[in-house]
Amino acid sequence: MLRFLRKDMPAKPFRIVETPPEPPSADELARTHHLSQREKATITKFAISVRSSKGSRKSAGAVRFKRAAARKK
Amino acid sequence: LAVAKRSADVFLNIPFADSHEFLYIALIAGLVALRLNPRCVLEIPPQQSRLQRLYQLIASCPYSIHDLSYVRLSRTGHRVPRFNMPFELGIAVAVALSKESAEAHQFRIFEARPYRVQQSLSDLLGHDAYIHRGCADGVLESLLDVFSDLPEAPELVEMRRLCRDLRRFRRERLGNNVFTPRAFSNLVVAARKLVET
Repeated sequence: MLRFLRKDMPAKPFRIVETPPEPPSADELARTHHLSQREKATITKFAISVRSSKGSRKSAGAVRFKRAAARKK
Repeated sequence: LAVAKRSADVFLNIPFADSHEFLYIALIAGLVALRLNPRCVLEIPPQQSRLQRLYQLIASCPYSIHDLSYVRLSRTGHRVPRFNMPFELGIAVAVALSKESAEAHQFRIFEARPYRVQQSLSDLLGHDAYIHRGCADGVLESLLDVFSDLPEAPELVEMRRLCRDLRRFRRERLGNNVFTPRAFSNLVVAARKLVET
């Protein structure tokens, strides 16, 4: 999409004749890359922490609203 | 040009320099977001048959991306340019030319500035480079451009998010040097895990 917008983009994109198959899963990749159980656990823990922080993160507007409501009380 | 094999592997030919860490992380994050699988010379253990294994690795990937933005004269010792990236590009060109069929290998060039490749490597006239402007956002945009024929490509904003999370993983969980086989493996698996989670 972007290549139609940029003037400095004369290069050709890769021609995709056939859609590539689904890439290996994280577990399969960990096996082929010979990651240790400890490394796998660290990665899993990190991914979960990122997801949970996104889930609990409130927008700046929501935080201001909550603080204002608390002050009114 | 057409796909070499039914594989999601993309060979990355990039400089292993601290100044280009943004490129390394952005390429891994961007390719994983595009549901592709980054491969790299770091996966090959140093030994006698290294060149042969490098050739085999490139030949096994349907696509390769070669960043030539670090091709410059060294400041210390003998003032010679680093030839690793153009050398690996040469191997990819040989692989691509060896099979002129639907299974041909496809290669593309990335650069930080326009028209530099034409000056440094005039043999590649007609193979214009994708310009990433020396920033992670430019790398992600270039990836979307180079894989624009890929169905169901993610939005740039999703790729940015994954790139940001992977940079955080690198900062919090990896040591000083990320250009090691272990760090590469960790980054690829972490990026994939972040997409799956």
